Amino acid sequence: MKKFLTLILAVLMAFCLFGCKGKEGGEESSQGEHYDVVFLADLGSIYDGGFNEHSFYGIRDYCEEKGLKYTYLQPAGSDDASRVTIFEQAVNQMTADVLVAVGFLWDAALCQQIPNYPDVKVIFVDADDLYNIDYDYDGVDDSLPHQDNLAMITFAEQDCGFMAGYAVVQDGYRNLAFMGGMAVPAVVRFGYGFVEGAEAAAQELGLAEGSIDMKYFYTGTFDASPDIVTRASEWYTNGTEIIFSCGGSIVNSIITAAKDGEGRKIVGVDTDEYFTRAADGADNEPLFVTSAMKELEVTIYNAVKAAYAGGAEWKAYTDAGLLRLGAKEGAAIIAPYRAENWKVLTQADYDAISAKAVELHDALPTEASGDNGRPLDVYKYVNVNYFEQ
Amino acid sequence: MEMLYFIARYFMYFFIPLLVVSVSGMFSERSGIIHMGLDSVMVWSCMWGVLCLQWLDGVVAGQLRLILALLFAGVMGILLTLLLAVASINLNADQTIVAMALNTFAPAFCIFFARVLQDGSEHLSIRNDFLIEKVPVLGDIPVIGEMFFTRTYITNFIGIAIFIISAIVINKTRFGLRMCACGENPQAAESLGVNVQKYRYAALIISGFIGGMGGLMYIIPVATHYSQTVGGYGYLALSVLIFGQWRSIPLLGAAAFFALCKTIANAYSGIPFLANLGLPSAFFKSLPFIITLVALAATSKYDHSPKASGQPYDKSQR
Repeated sequence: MKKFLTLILAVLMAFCLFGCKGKEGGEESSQGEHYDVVFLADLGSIYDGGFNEHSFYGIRDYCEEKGLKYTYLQPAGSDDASRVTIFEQAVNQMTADVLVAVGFLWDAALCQQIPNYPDVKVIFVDADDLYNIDYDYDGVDDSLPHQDNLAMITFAEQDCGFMAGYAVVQDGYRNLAFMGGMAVPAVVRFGYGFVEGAEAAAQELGLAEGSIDMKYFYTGTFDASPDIVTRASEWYTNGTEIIFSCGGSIVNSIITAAKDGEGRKIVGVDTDEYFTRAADGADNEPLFVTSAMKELEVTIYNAVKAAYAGGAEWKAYTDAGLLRLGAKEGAAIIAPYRAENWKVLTQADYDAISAKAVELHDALPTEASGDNGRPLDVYKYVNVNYFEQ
Repeated sequence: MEMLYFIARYFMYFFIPLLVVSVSGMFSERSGIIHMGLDSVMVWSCMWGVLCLQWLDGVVAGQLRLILALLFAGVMGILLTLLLAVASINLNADQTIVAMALNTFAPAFCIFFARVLQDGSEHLSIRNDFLIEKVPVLGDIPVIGEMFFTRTYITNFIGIAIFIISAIVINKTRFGLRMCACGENPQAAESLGVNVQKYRYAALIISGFIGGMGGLMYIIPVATHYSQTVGGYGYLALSVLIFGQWRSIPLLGAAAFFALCKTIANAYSGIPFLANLGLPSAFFKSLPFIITLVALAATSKYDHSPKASGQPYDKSQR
């Protein structure tokens, strides 16, 4: 009996190791096999229904079209050493031609590794400017000199945040809220844009000063929890009409809170959550008035395509330094118009919003304008109520 | 008044999982097995419970689907806890380390398994049609009815029932008292004819069943899909257990206190009197932990922790 139980235990332990490997190494990869394109993912799950997943789809689309082999690798931890390890794995063992790394946390690992492998093309998405950086905050400049094998792309999330905020205020919402995951640059930009959009729309509609209420909070996590349900539900109960949910799985808890009463709405993020959340139940659809979206798939598809085309097309990327793609480039957009979601907004109004964001792009604040994600204190029409985490 | 009803309703979302899982821990620890693996039991059983909900969707309707999934989650909770049982009862392993192994194993396995099963994403969606708008008769009681018997979940009542039954079993039955003896002085218990190993097995099976149900109870009211995490509530339940000094009634108080602090930390901005105090929410969030520390320091003289917990049982030490 004892032997038998020991055996079961041993088998389960083996399972455990197997499970770990799937998480670290990517189950499709094995040593020595060649891959053309390797995706270096950000923290969290590769199938997160958002950032990682849709970035990966951009690679998938290009590679399947051209018959290239592709896979993904995920860092085992949030430290730079584990990122360096999988970078080397991708370059040395998988002999990849193109690497796509997503998430600004890759900055230190990339700064150290890129100059060593001039033949590998690296596309860094949601990037920091590696030509002007001090990634360890020690006061010493860690910037790279110009690299011919590096493309850096980041999104102007403030543009699509602006569009969403502008649209909902135009449509008659007055009690808004922003709930972010963590105050990382992308999330901060979404939030800043959202407040700006609300302010601009209120001004245009000629509302009284302070007539828009905006609750503002970072949950400190990207996971669902009863804490988030409680807070969101308390907000809705006390008058909030619509919450901009900006952080991965926290939307789950906000959906739950929204279903706990009548007329409670959500603004989605990254992808068109009207569709992506319907997978969890068709009754989630009507909750999403619109979504502030990043065109991850198309952007990454185009960058990988340029890397393979080489020549002038690739040089345009590498010479640009840090590319900031926003509304003008069609990379920061809002979800398509759906008449049943809007009370007064028409298709024509909706189409004009994008042009508005393009026009105001340079005036919108970025994460550099504020203090650790705290909204700016400059608004007349929007009354921002910031909650400490 | 609206706000009071609101607080009461959301209080239950924190209170029930904490209570149930800490009761699960109480069974284990009173029998002499330290159970640091409560979180892994929650994560693991919750996945099986959610899968069971998916399998039963369209097969059985309404609350029965939830009850069957709870039972299934409980059974799977037993399976995982048996690993702890075998290692710590038969193999005399270090209980803390085994539990930590479980805590590493469960989330990794769950992600892996769900990905294989769904060919990609590990997020398991939950179709939740379990909200009870109003409990007949009880829901009509003024104030109390509005607080606890409208817009509620059946898991709330099951959770309370589990607590009451457990309290009676542990404190009033022959089984419970003998089980506690195994956690206090197993050698003495053995000398009086109590089979320590058998009682510890029984305690861990009960613990696994209750803890498994607690995992599913956690997720049902708060999310529309499950991402293989329970937000560290297993560890929180462990601190409830310690704050409750391993005794049923104090445990109830401890769980209620933790849950109340959690609720207020998230909803205080809607309560005028608290919002006007101008305290940061971090104050309410950290309050239960600070009080646990202070309480433990102040009462350490009268430590009620089971004397033999954490030590592998060795007959020869009699």
